[in-house]
Amino acid sequence: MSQVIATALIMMLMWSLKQFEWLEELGGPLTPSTMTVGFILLIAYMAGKLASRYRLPKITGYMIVGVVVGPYVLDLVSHEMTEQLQLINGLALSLIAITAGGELKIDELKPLWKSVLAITFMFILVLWIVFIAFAFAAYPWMPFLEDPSWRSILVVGMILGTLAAASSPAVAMAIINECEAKGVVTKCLLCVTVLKDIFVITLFSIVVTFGKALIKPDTPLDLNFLAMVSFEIVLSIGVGVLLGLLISLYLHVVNRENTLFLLFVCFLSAKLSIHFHLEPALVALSAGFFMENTTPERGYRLVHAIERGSLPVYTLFFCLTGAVIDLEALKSMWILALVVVALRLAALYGATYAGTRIGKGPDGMKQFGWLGFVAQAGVSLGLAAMLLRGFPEWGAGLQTLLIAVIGINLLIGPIGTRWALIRSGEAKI
Amino acid sequence: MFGSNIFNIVTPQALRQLDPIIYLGLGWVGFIVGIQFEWRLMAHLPKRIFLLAQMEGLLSSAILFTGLLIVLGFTAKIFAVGRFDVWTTAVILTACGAVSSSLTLHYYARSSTEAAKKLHILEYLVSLHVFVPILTLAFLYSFFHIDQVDGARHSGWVWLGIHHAVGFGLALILFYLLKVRLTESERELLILGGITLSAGVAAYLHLSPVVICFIAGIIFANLPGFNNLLMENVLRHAERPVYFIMLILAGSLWNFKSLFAWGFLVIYILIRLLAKGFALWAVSRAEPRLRLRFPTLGGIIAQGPLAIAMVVGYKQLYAGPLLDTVVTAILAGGFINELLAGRLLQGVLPPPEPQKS
Repeated sequence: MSQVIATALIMMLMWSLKQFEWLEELGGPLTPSTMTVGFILLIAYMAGKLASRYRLPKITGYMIVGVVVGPYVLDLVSHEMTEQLQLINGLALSLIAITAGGELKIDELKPLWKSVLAITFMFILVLWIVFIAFAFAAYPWMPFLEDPSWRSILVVGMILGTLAAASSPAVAMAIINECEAKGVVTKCLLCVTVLKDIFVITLFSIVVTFGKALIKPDTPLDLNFLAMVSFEIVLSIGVGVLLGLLISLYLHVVNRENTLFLLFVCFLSAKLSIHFHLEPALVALSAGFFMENTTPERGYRLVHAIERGSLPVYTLFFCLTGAVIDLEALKSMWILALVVVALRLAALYGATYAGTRIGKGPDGMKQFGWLGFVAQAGVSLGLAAMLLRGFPEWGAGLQTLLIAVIGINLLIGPIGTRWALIRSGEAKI
Repeated sequence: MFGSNIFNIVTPQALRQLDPIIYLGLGWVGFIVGIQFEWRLMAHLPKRIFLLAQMEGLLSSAILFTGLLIVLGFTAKIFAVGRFDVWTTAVILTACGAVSSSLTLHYYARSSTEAAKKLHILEYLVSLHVFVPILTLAFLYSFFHIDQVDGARHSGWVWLGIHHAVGFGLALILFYLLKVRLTESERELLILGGITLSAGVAAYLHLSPVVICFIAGIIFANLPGFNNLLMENVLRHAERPVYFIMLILAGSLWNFKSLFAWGFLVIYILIRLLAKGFALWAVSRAEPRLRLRFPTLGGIIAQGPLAIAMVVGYKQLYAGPLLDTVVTAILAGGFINELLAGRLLQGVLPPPEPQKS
């Protein structure tokens, strides 16, 4: 009851501020971003509580709040505001990714590496086959493909297959944290998610580079894009390792005010990622991984100290992630998007099953692991945004479809991950 | 060093993007100062000390304000600075200057000597005298509100009322949110969210986050069911990172290249020393326990995070030709005052024994 009263009070406070909208006309340097951050922290927390009452992951609650307060419904968090909060969002993503990297210990991963590699390769293979077949079967229903050549259809299938393989390490980490999950399935899931990201980014650049040449055989092969993406991946990992080294050195030499120092490193990571167009999750993951494996004891303590205080970070991050779900895209292509989502789910099951069998992975992974790969977020969205530049004829249409698919996967994904961890018996709940 | 003056890591654009963190820091400082005024604990203190503390705050503010107004009046004539800028500068410098930090005193009061024991009363005085500076700050944000520049819709009194209403609203929201059983991280999130919301509302309405969260802190601490220990746990966990981040961002906001600002700093420190010295001398006439040796009184000149929060908040909202002067006076002045206070206290007190673990 008291939480209902608190919510009513917050709503009243926000409503009463409408009386002061005229202040904006007077100018001044301020924007409502701080107020919005506070508002979404409190409301998303309540939504998370409500979600967990219905046995849903808290982050689903946070994301639903994000959708509601986002630019397509209430517009409390406008497009401009999401841009303005980019740095804070990047800071949150870096913190989540550093903890995710810190969970990957080489010693613990050694027995799993075969299955991790097998699952990753099976993902790429199965999803490519499924989505290339889908593209050839369903192209008449794709409004963005007008009178297409077989080459265009093939490229669309490859792009769909590549991006379908991506899943979100941030969501995986958040659910692992929420369920306090520990065990081989958890490790395997996290490791495949991270490894897949690297493969997907590389593969995407290869597909775009060769796809362009395939569609227009008379134009010379332009390897610039591939070179640029490869450079970005290498640089992201390199910067991440350097940051990890910095953390390790700090833990060895100073070992005071560690949380503060880590926040500084996350800020640096977010800032460098924005400035040099690096892959932010990859930078922070590499940093966390390097730190954990060079300073195991202190790194472990640090990672767990962050995890204990990470609730505000997750709340804000996933609420803002929900706010960028493009409902317009979903509205325009929801039928096709649902078909793609259903097909992806089936392919994920097949790929995980086959990969686990081949790599002799844990049984839990074979049965429930696929559910943990449903969620998609930042990397997939970032790659989808590059399509228009690569394929001006139909890139925008495919991008809209992908954004719709990612939106659905983002909302259902956390439920799948939570279920996978519970059913495999590794979650504490 | 991280700011645009040297390394340019925290660029002006990044600072704009970090607005929520800066405002959270400002609100956090106000809230922490506010919740110290828990009636159940305050009731044990003699009322006389409380009144003397307010007297000290009032006297030092009056002297500071008069001195600063005279100096700034001359400056305005030479550099053709407008009246609005002179008044706002004098008021913010008065509010910041009237605040003393108890941290240095607390450090030396840990020593077991007789002289150190005498510092406790000074420590109480310093902890209690924030009402006058906070009221001065509320006065600044209400009566020099952006709305007052041309054709005011609301009077300064209305804005003062809104400060109180928002602070009261936040206290009630926190009270209801924290009433149920929560884990420590949930409590931390709700307090962070609540303070960010109120600081954000303050920013949106062009009011002071420090004042609003201070009011919220006092009301919250005196509502039924307030658990000092639980709050302490949460605040202890987040306090240092929030303070440090705010200090770093405050440093990044600082443009220290104005020569005039450095010249003015010397005058500001002298006026403040005079104001604090006279105010303390005056209240010591009424309370013999405050008649301490001169160097011991140096403990009252240290400035703390509250003054820094006040000036950062001011910098976020107000512009004008004297802005860099204000920031330099408080940030560099705070540093110098801290050193001065330490040196003076060191002269009469041994450093405290290290705490046993």
